[in-house]
Amino acid sequence: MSRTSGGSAGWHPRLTAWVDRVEGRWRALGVAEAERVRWRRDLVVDLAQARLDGAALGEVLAVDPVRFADDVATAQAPYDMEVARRPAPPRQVSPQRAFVMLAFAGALVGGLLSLLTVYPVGLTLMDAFADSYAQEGLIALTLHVLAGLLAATGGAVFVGFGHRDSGSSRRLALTAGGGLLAAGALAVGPAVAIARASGYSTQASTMTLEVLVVVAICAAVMHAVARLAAR
Amino acid sequence: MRRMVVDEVVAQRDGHLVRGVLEMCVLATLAAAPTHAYDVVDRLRSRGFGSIGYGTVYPLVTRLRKQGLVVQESEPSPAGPPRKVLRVTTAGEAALRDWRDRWAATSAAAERVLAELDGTP
Repeated sequence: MSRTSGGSAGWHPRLTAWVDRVEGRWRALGVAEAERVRWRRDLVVDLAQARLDGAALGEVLAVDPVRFADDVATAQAPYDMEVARRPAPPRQVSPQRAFVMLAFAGALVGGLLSLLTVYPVGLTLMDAFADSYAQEGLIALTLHVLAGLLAATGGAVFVGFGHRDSGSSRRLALTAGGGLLAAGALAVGPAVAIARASGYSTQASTMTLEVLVVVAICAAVMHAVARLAAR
Repeated sequence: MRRMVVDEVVAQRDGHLVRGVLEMCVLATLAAAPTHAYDVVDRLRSRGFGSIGYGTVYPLVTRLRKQGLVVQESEPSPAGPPRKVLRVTTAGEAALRDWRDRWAATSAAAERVLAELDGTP
């Protein structure tokens, strides 16, 4: 016997199964366990008494347990059945997180664009015009600055577009662009330090570490920028 | 097909009529004699509410309990353990009086409207 049947004289196992289905529906509706237990106990007390007084088993079992459960839950105001029936709303992304995500997505697109455009052109120029190590360095520096600008522009465009319905979209876009440039500038030092320490290794582990450090610094800076922008 | 539609319309109209008074009738039934929800069903049926079932009355009783108009209590039984019954509270008695007055006023108004069909004032 289940906890509800309690061995009552007029009780029947099929009633337990029916009550189980009612409680299952309450669970599906999101009714808290403490309430479910209380509602179930009340129902079982009433049904058990009805059975002791000769109520027909078949009539109770003929009641649709799902509809019955819905009706009881509706009766238990302030429990809101409509809220329970409604699908859970999608999780809202906080405005600050949305700002950072948009900035990163834009920066990623800008970075990819620079890989496809700036670097090939730059390397061609380097091969054609760089006669000295200093000139190569100057061109390489220019390439990285251009790539950084393109990434920052991408971030600004994405943030601006993402906030196009807001009155402050322009300010947010400029903040994102500036933040990305500052974050990139801050990340250069540690990235170069790692590269130098590894002897400018191109091994995957070293490159991954450099990328992770840059991403971590940029994320930290952009979160701080997002907090400032939200003020 | 048309017959089915008409039956459905009639059933809906009956449902609206019954819903309007059922709460009052359940309360009145329990005020007359405390009992459990299933017995309320039996009593209402014996008085002409043939379409009423446990699936209708129990949620209704639940709402009345939630509103504090009805409580579940133990009642001594001559044979066996105490019976668990639903009893109308003082607030429930007041609500029933109010309902009854409103019902009398509403049904009297409806009667006056229907009486026009017979040509009586």
